[in-house]
Amino acid sequence: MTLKDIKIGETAKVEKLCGEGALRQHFLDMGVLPGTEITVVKYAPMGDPIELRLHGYELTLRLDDAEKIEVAKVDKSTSKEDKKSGKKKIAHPGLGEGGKFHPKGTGKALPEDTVLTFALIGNQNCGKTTLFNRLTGSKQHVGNFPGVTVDRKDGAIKGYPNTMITDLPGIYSMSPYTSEEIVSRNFVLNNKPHAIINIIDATNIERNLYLTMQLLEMDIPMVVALNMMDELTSNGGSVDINTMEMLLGVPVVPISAAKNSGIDELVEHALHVAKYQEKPLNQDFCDKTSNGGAVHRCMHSMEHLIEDHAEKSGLPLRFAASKVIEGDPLILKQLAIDENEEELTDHIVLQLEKERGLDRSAAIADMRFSFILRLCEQAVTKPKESKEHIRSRRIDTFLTGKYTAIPAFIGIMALVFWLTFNVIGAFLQGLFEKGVDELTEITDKALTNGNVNSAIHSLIIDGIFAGIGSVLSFLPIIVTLFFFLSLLEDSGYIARVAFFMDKLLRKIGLSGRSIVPMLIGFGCSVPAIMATRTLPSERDRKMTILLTPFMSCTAKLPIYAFFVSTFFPGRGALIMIGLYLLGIITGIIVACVYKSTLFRGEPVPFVMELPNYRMPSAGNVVQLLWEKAKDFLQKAFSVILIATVAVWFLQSFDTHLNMVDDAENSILARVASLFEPLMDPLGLGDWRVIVSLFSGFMAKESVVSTMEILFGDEIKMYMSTLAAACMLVFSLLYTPCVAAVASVKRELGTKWAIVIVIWQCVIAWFAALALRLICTMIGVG
Amino acid sequence: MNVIDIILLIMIAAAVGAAVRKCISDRKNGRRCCGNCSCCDKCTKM
Repeated sequence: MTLKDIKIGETAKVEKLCGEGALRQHFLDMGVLPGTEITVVKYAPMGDPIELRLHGYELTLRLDDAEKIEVAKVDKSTSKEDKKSGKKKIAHPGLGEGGKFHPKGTGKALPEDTVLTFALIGNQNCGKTTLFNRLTGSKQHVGNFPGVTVDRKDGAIKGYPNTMITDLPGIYSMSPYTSEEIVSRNFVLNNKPHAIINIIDATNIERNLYLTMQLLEMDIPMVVALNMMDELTSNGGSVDINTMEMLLGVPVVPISAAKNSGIDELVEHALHVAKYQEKPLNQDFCDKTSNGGAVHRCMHSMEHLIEDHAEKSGLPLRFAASKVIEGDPLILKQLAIDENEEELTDHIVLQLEKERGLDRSAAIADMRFSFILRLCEQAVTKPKESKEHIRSRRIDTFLTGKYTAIPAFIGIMALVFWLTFNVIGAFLQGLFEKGVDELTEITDKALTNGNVNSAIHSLIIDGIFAGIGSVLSFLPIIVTLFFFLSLLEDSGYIARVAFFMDKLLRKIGLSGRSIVPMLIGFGCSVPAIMATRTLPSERDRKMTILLTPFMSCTAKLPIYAFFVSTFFPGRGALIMIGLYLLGIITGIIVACVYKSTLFRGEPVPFVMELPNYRMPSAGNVVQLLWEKAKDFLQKAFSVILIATVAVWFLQSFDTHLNMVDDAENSILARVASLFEPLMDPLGLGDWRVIVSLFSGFMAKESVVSTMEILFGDEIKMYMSTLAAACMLVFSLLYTPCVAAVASVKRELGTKWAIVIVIWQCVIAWFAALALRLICTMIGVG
Repeated sequence: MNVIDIILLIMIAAAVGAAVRKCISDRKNGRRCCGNCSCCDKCTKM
């Protein structure tokens, strides 16, 4: 019997995990190993994937992958999940505090002027971002990990300028399943931070501790931050911190990042272990007595065998040994053991597998989880079911229900767009526009009174103010849309969307996880393209990146709003929704083409955690909106300013650098006129339209500012309604902005970046032409 | 051209120069994202 055969509400115990490779290792790292009890919670509305409960958290899995897990049904009444843990009181070990390893004021402290570096590591959904924001405040710096396409966040701990904490991507283990896991591992091994701050979700301790154990093996000073303690305790749970500290051998500090409690104590402990380089006391988690000590003997044999290689390559011994046993190819390569030793390692592992009755990876995973279960039995009192989980279950009955999931999703997205374009965003935009108009008028009067040169007057009012002003007024709409998208993602709803959209997305050759970058793409293509890094399959990643431009980003909103207000007043919502739908439908058609041509093959397996629904922290949301607004303003006063001045210059001067009375004689007109024959069939053969579209390559918002400069208020005289509609369709689908193309270049290389620019323009051209032909045939416009 | 014209020209040139320098330094520092740091971090949640 396999997991696929288990019905909703039934519990089964894993007997065998079939399959192979990185996916199988990922299953093991997520806790799906022989002996684990799994309960089937529900099926997605379309029957696939399924939601499972194990080790106190929810995981989703496709039926095809569930078929690889052999199980036996268990009686729920004997299920381990219901057992309460016992605990005995022990004295506080006092790790990470003065007086334990050495009396206060003594010990081999690092020099006073050393910049203490920390790595912040934890699972996804454990509150890492919130903790990082608490520790560093607004003093963060965004950069890149060298050589790989993962952004890093650094910051000094508030009040301690001689520190630097690096926020690493959320990961489940140190196995090379995704690029994030490799990046985090390499950062710890190569950058050698002075200490690690490992953040754990206290409401999901078992799964989170799996990563902790691997971090302990790295033999770097470490502090465990037990987050969300407020949630655990409010549901009747508790953790015996002293026992946990004693068993793990590192300081354990209970905190609540959301409520800002325990942070000072965490900082104190982290600084102490870093300064005095207090390494973990325990690394030997294999039980000598368990299963004849097979894993214990294997581990120690391996450590002795590779000791010299580990030292030579600078790898922590225990970590290297466990990875060799797991068959990690990257570590094996780094150790560079010789042929004889390789043969010996194979025999050691074979003996382990024979004695233990499990394959190598399962044996190591089982060793870790056995320790974790022993620890939890002694130190953790779990509530039966938390309030948050009960609430999530109730909400999911509607939001992921068989007949309600998709209508709810459509309703929520429609509500988001309506509130953004028609209510909140529109109101704030009106205020902004008024302010910009007033400022323009005042400046115009001042320049006239000051007898400013007409060229400079024109540059300031018709160029800079018109251009930047028209773009700035869209800031409220962009920020509002970003607010709602972040709310949906932070609350945990987007994970559910990925769950029930998986089967649908598989029809176009993708997995449910691709919905996340696509939804982010409605905000901005750049983070959407970067969000594809979490997709484990290169094929899925490439395909999702190529489809992201079809999700109309917020930067295009000013273009739509401009044309809608001028040519289609009163039909704003309809046209906007129509455009978004057109983008999605075109994307689906193109995806189907990709599926049968460039990207043949099956989409990546779908293994994903479903976190509880959470109210996003107001502080995080405000910071995020401020960052978005700040970036938009920076873009307005940098890229768009340059574009505005450049356009003004090129359209005000001819090739002999004389100012022109008629812009049609300008440099800009001459260059743009070369493309007129190409755009004539679409009704967009005016050089000013072409120039505006070109400026959109720098920043989409520039299209409107450029049109304002070149057409003024007279655009209706030069453009028909049908041409305006074609312009909308062309703007929707043509090349993304230079920032997005640069992201594509970084992720996929220059060739794909060029392909995406040309391909999008071709699709946009044909789509606009099709619209024009259809409207002409039916006599519209 | 009078003094005000010259001052305005210098200010505009300085603004454009600062904008160009920002674009170049953003590219050099590898700052590719839109500045929405939390969004980038959130993208690793899935």
